[in-house]
Amino acid sequence: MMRQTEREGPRETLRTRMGWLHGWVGFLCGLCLACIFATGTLTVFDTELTRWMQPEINVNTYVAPTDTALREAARIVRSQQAQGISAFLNLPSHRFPVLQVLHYNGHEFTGDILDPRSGALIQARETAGGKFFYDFHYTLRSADIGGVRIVNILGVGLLVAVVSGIVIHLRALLPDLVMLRLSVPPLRSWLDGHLLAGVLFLPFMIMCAYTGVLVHADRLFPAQSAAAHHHGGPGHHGHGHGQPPPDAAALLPVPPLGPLLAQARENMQGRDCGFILFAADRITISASDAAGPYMSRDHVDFSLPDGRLLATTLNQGRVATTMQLVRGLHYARFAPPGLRWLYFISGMAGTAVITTGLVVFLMKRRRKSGHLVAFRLAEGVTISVTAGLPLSMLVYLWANRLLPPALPGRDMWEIDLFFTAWGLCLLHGMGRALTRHAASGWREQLGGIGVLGCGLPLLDILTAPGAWGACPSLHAAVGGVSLLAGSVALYAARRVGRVA
Amino acid sequence: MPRTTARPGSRLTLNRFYAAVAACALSYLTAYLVLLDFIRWAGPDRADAAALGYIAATACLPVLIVTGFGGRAWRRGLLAVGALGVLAALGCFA
Repeated sequence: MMRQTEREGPRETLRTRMGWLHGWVGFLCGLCLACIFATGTLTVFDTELTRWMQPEINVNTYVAPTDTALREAARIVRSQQAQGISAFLNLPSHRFPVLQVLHYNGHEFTGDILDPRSGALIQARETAGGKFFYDFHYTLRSADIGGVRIVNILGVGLLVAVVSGIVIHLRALLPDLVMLRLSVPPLRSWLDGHLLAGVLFLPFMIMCAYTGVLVHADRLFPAQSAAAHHHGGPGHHGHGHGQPPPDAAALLPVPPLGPLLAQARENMQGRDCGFILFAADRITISASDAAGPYMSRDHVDFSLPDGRLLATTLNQGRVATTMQLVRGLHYARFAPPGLRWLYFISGMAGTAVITTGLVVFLMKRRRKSGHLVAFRLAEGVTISVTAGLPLSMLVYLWANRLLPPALPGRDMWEIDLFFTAWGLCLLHGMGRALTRHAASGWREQLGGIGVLGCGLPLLDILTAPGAWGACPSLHAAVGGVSLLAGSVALYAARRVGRVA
Repeated sequence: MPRTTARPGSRLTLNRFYAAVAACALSYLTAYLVLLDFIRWAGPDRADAAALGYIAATACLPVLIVTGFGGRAWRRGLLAVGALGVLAALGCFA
């Protein structure tokens, strides 16, 4: 019996089974999850990134929109609706203090920007801005064709990897918190880094994965009748892009919006108003997402053309409030700057947990499977995810500054350049890995991040000096983060070189 | 207590793969039935019922997958998830 056991190999335990599940689910899902987590982390500052990418906007502090500006904005909304565009009005906020007449272009909300004081159009460069990362984060740029479902399945994969990881390390969760050995063999120190970040940011990762899946749970469990009740409200995220534009002939004139905003604010218990939807015979004023941690979609309806109050909808009840909190926690639009930075740092750490996991997975198998083509392809993809994605993000920001501001369709140019750079990184990584020069692949792509990251603040100063003067904290923050990313990448490139 | 021993390389991997697929399929079905249970039993407000069902089903799914896959003798894990699925089905179709 003993001889038979030896012949059949080591005993299979719960830990080995969980290790197998954690490794394979973590690696296969992790290749996409790293991208989803990284873009989600940038999405925490999507509005600020959009502001950075439109240095022509010279309104830097919040002012309440004047009646003139609101009248002009309503006129533009109605004229766009007459052309068949489902436009709505986004009100100024402290994060983005301008009026925006937006419509959904299949990926992002985009449109005209107006000065909240005069209502004059601000000729800002066309860009998807930070909203590109938001779209990528939850649809994988699929224009809502299956991408949301894929992201949801990957989110469940992340939860499975986390739960199996907890089972593996249950006995050592606390010791892992104080264990980081940089002078031991690379595999051990990478594993220590993976465990340390994983344990420290475990609650954040579980919160993000769970709330992220729950926000679009109807895509995972399509119970049609239930989902119809569950989501309710106008269109996707309540912005109404799913609605057909009203018939041009039936569009009624809009009364002055100022008094209606004041009444809406009063009816919504003093919360700020976020956006206004314009139907043919009524307008709907919704509460701002920044008003609190509950993303309630509370709204007040007024009839047109007289501006008579029709109804006030306050979504209350324990279950509804719970779901609002789930959304609020995931989107973090309510968060003040300090909490937003905490989300950002935690998101970065979450991304690091996933990417170190990818590296550990490959390192563990290198000796046994390093000669296989499949292994080298996996290594090439890992290089392009871990180093190629940040490189492409920086290319996106560089493109924003280097493409001519008046270039027609320049928002698509920026996005095309992002994907071109990422595709080239993938080819480069695979080419290096297939020719057994994976270390060079890592070094070169990390070097690219170093050059672009360290050069971005300089480029920003050279191409938008006025914006630095008008909003120094924003530009210093973007420059500082890119400088930090570049420096870390250069250090890592040196370390990879030394190991190679 | 009987000990399960690992089989040689590829067969072991294949068995684990089949176990993972079976655990995923069974867990998804069970979680879905839990959602339908909530919709059926949670009262007249279907929106609230659906939301509660989604909260429960989303929380259950990864735990069920790990349970279904992770039993030391893996059929035990699958049997446990299957039994939960049968209970959920009874609640749904009874």
